[in-house]
Amino acid sequence: MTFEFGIIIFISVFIFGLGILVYLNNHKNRTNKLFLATVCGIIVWMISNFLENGTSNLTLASIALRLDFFSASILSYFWLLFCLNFPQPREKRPWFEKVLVVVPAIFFAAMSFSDLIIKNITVVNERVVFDEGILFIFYAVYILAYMIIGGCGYLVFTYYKSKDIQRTQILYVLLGLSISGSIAVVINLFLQPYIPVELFRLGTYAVIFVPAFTAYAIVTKKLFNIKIVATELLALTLWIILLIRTILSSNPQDFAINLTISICVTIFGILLIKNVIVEVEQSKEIKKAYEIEKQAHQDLIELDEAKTNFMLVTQHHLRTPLSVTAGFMDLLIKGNYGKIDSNALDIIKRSDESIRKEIEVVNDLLTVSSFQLGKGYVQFEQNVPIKDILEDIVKDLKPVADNQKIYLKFESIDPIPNISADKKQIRMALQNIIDNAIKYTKQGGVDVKIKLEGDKVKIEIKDTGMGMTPEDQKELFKAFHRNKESWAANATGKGIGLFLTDQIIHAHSGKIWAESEGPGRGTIFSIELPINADLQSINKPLQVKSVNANI
Amino acid sequence: MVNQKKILWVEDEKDLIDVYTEIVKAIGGIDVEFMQLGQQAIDRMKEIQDGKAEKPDLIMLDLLLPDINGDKVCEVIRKTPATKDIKIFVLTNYSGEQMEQKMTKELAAEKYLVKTEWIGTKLMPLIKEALK
Repeated sequence: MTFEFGIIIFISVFIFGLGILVYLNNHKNRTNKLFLATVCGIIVWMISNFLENGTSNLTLASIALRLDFFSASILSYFWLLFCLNFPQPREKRPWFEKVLVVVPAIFFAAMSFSDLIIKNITVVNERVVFDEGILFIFYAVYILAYMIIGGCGYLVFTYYKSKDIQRTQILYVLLGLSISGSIAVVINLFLQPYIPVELFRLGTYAVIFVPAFTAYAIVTKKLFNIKIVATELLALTLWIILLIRTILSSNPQDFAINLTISICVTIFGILLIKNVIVEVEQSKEIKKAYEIEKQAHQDLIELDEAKTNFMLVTQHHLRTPLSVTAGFMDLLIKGNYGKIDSNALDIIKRSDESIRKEIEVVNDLLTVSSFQLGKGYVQFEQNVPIKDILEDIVKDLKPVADNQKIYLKFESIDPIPNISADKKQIRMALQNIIDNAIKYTKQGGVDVKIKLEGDKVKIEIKDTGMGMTPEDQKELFKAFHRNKESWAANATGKGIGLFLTDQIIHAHSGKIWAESEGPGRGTIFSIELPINADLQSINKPLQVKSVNANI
Repeated sequence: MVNQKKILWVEDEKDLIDVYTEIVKAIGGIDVEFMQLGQQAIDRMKEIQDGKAEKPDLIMLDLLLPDINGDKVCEVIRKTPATKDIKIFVLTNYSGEQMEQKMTKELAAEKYLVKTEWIGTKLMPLIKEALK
């Protein structure tokens, strides 16, 4: 009797403590208030349930029995409300709904003290016995409806509707319910005959798991993590064992030692739990960062695809009519459609020339826009014979210089090593500069020099041409930039060549700059290319640094 | 007619089909079939695999098509055992380093030609050479 009463007091204090803890966690929250109310209901029900038996005092037994029925009725009401408001409080309900819920609760609570539910209470062998009143069956239905169908049923329903943390919170409550339900059923139905009389109500006390799990769900609000829960359970078990040892200490010395150990283990346990939580949270953060990174990578791929599609469609629309027209012109000129009158043929040839110029313009514009979209790539190759390439360009352009009656000279000062570069692109870049120098030089000529400077190759293109102002030197490498003199000197330039050259040289981690002493005094273009550019910039897209968009 | 070479030309632009028809006619001795949709070309590869159609000696492939793009068509050609070795020339209006790499290196297209550069009769020697 005393032992059992001790258990009840322990459970009551424990769950009341949980109720207060939850209430203090957020005392304005309706869910938390309802939890405290439910806990109080459980305590009154448990104590009255205990007091109704084990006494031969009929007055005490009958008061306890009626209190048992009364508290069960109130408990059912609070439990239902709690379940309806868990894990988040619901919006305010209309008054008639409240009345509908509260009226049966008050009615059956009040009727517990009449003979309508229980009557003819007697005590036989210290056990209370009674007859069922006229409303007993309705009372049973009420308890069943509120507790199991309304409360637990609604929890299961919300479990399927919610997600993430809320879902886990409900899972905890359902777990607590399942554990206490299972223990109660096993003990009350199967083990009753075998257990000692003192542990007669062990099944009833299993109710402790419901508030314990629920309080945990409300206070911690953490996603279920087996590592954290296992650590907490381990620490809790240790604390309880040490606490019992301390209470049961045989002498003050023993008590002092046990108490010290308990305190140390408690501190150690708290630190351990905190550590595990930090570790779990960190691994969650890492996982999250990885997900973000993965998504960003995916976005980049999609963006790249979108750019390719954009270029594909743009190029298609700009070039298709040109290739059709040029194709037909070519067939006409080549006589595929029969002999054509010489006057008409002359017109066709002029149109053909015009179309081919237009194709060049479109090609240049498309190259610029593909670079601007970051779709121009440099594909590095090893052992690119930069000296030979330069020499080759000079040889190719020699007739152009001859035609203009200017000189074009090439000089290689040191033995030049092969470099890593995008052969096609670097050729285009160098050709642009030399071509430009020839174009804008009317007297004198162009000197092309290549030499070795440390781990770099330096190329100098010096002309005796029209030179430029300091302002022009600044704007030189911007897209579509052309100075006034260059307009006059060569009407077909589009101001794209130097822009592309600059992009290519930078993608090779190189440098390009122009120096001129002023208009009419020639220009020196200098280009520096690292020998091992691929180590510094592997297949990187050409990035546009500055675009002057006054087309 | 036994030795007549066969070209399957995937090109959706009606005017360009006219230009290319003239070119093929000028070369002579070539049986050319034009297809305007990627799906038609894919279906044809299946027919070749099933032995229901003749294998072409050369496929001229445009990239931007109204339904399925040329690179996808090319993937199917290379994955179909009976067609995986057919010579492919990509003839497109799209010039992009990455696409060129993909088509020539990954999908083993023999040539990557930009239409505005390979105008009219300029294509003739290339085609003749491919069909030798």
